[in-house]
Amino acid sequence: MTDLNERYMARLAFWLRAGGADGARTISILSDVRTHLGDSGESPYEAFGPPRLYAKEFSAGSPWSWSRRAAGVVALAALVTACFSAADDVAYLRTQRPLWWGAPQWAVVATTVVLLLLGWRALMYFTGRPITSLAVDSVDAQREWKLRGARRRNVSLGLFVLVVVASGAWGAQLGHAYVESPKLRVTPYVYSLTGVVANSSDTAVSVRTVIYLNAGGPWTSLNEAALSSGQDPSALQASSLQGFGSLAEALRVAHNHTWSLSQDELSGFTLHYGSYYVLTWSGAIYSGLVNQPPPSQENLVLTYDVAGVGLKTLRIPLSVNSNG
Amino acid sequence: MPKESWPTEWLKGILPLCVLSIVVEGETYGYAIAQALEREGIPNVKGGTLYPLLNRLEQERLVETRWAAGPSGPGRKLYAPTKQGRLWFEENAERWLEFAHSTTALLRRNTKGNKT
Repeated sequence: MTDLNERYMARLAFWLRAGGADGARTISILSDVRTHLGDSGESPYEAFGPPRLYAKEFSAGSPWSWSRRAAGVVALAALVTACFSAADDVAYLRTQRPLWWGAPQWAVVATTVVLLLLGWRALMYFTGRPITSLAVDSVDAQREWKLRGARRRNVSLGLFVLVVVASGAWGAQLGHAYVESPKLRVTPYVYSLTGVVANSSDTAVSVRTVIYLNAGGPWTSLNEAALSSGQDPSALQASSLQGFGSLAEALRVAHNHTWSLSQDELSGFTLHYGSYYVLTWSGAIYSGLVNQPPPSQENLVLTYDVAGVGLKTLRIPLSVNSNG
Repeated sequence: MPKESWPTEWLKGILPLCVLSIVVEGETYGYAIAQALEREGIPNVKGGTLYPLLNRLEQERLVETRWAAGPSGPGRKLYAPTKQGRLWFEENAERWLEFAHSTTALLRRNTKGNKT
């Protein structure tokens, strides 16, 4: 049996099944095709015509095929609808935007169902194997048919379990990301400069680094920035934020250490996921007592507000050189 | 050069009887039927025509099938007439011969070389 014949019979088997032929009938029809091709040496297309059309010759009388197919499509549509609703909910929670640009749900579900069915058919069509290639008689063929049925069931069940587990894991990950996100992060590149403030025991601190959100989510805005060991409220505090579309661009700017600050832009600044912000901040560590050296480990603590979640903080460790 | 096929619409009516006529002679299989038809002057009956026809005859219980193990490997399907099939064949073959007789007489009257 040549490759062409095998392929032809696989496709014929596919179309016979699609037309509602049961196992025994499919085996019987394929058996004739196989022996005929073996005897005559003809090309299958020449002898029988295209498999789809040949299968049509036998399609009369398939009582349960349509109801069964309809049930399958309804079940698939229900599954897709459930998945879509869940995904849409998660998407809305995360980004405050509906999935698929707000396309009507029925359209998305219908498209998905059609694509899945076409995909399944294509898979069956191109990977199908004829069932009677090795059968010796009808009993043998029936046994092979049953075996294939069991195998197909097992594969389908396995795929189903895989999909359930995978979507469960995906859902859990999304849920986790929602609960945890958005989080403000800082890049490892933190530039800090310290110096003595004239006519005071305060230590001036300047910081330049890049911060960003790790995930999209509810409205997020910066609240305040403070040094962890307390800062001098009377000292000048100024800050600026500059957003960039890429981390590389933001880092390039952050590496430039000449800047001038005149006002405090940080409070109430709205952060967007996908942007990288060059944060420039300057303030002073309040020494209070003249002889108390500034602490060697200092943090700049950013407080930010995630709508519906509450206040969160980001600690940016600074290296402070005590040179006072 | 293969012999020219008969028009499809002619074959449609007579092919079931011709096939049954061959099956009635003894249990046989699909390709052998096609070859027998060819020998009897009905060439080029494709598998795509023959097997659906046999399938219909089987569904009408005019022929029955059984599987026979091939000399090597996969088995083949053999077709044999049922009792009902033999009766149907005899009845309809008689009628067709009558029909053919009438049509032959009619056509012959006006065919070149036969005009009186």
